[in-house]
Amino acid sequence: MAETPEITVLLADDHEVVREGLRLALLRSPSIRVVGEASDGETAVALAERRRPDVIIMDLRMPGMDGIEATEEIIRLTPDAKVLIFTAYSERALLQRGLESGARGYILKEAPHETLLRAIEKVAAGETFVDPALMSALTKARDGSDVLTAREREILQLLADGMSNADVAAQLFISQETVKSHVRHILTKLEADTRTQAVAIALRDAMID
Amino acid sequence: MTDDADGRALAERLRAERDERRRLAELIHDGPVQLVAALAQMLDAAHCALEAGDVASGVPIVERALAVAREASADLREIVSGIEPNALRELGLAAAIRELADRLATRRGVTFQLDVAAGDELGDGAQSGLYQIVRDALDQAVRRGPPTTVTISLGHSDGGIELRITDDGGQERREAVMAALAERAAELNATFASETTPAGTTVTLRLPPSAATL
Repeated sequence: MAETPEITVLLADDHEVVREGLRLALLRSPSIRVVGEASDGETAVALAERRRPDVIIMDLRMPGMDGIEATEEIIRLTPDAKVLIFTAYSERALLQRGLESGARGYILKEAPHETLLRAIEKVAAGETFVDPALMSALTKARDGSDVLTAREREILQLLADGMSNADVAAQLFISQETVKSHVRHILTKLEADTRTQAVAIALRDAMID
Repeated sequence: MTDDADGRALAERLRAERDERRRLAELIHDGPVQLVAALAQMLDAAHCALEAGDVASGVPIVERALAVAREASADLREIVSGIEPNALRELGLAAAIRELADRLATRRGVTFQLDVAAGDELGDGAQSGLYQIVRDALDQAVRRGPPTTVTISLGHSDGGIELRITDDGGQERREAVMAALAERAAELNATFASETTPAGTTVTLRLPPSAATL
C-alpha cells in the first residue's frame, strides 16, 4: 500500500473548545498533523508565514482581524497558501466573500468527519471544495425559487458529495454524455448569476474529468 | 408630543429592538453554536476511536463531549432566562435582579450588594425595561472587568425612581454598549448618566414619576 503523504494543518479559531474538537477529530487521521493553533487573525497570518502549513483551517469571525482579512493577508504574503474556511455561518453572501478572499474551500463547523477530511485533502491538492450541505442554498435565486430543475439539483448534489461523472452516470442509469450535458446546463444557469459563482468554480473540476 | 418627538421615539425603539436582536444573535453564535459544533467534532473523534476498537482513546473523548454538551445546555438556559426571566414575570423586578446577581456570583465570582425592593412598585413596562438595562450593564461590567464587587440600588427620588449600578472594575466600557443603555433609558423617558474612573464605573438612571407606572 502506498504511503499517504502527510498533510500539515494550522487551526485558526477564537473558540478554544472548537479548536479542541477539531484537534481531537484530526488526531484520528494518521495522514493529518496539526502544526499550530491561532486564536485570532493576526496570529494566524504570522503562523501561516512561519510554519507554511499545507492547509490553514480558518474561522470567519474572530476578534481584531477576522478570517476574511486574515485569508487575504495570507494569500498576499504566500500566494500558494491554501485556506479552508471553517465556520458556523451558512449565508450565501459569506460563502461568496470567503471564496473571493482567496480561500479554496468552505465548510460548516458541524460537517461530518468524512466531509472534513475530504475538504482538507481536496484543498491540500489545490482543488476547490464547498460543503455539500451548502449546495441547495446556493442554487436558489434571489426570490427564493430554485434556478435548477430537480434532475440538475440531484446531479449537482452527487457531484458535490464527491462522485465522478462516471459514478453519477452509473447511479442514475444514464450515460456519461448525458451527465456532462446536465453539468453544462447547470454551469450556464449558475454563472448567469454571479452570486453562485462559487458553485460554478467547484463544478469545473467535474466538467474536466 | 410633537410629530418630531414621536418620530424620534419610534426611531429609538426600532434601534433598541435591532440592538436586542443583534445581541441575541451574538450570544447564541458565540456560545451554544460553537459548543455544539465542537461537540459534533468530538463525537466524530470518539466514534472513529470506538469503531477502531480503541476504547482507551474513545472513552475520555466521550467524557469531554458530555461536559461540552452540558455547558451548551447551561449556556442556552442562561440565554433563555436572560431574554425574559420567569422571575420577572411572576415575582417582579427585585426577584429577577436577585436571581441575575446570584447567577453572576456563582459563575463569575462577583460579590453583589443589592437594595432593589423598590423595583416592585414600578409598572410592568418599566420593570421589564429596567431589567434589560441592569442585565446589559452587568454583562458589560463582567466582560470588561470583571469587578469584584457590584452594588445595585433602586431608591425613591423626587417622586420617581433612581437606579444606580456601581462596580469596581477599572476597565473602560465599550462606547456602543453605553450608548445602547442610554437609548434604552430614553425609551423609558429616564435620564441616564455613566462615569468610569480607574476605581470603577457608575451608571445612574432617573425615572420620572410618570414613567414609573408604565
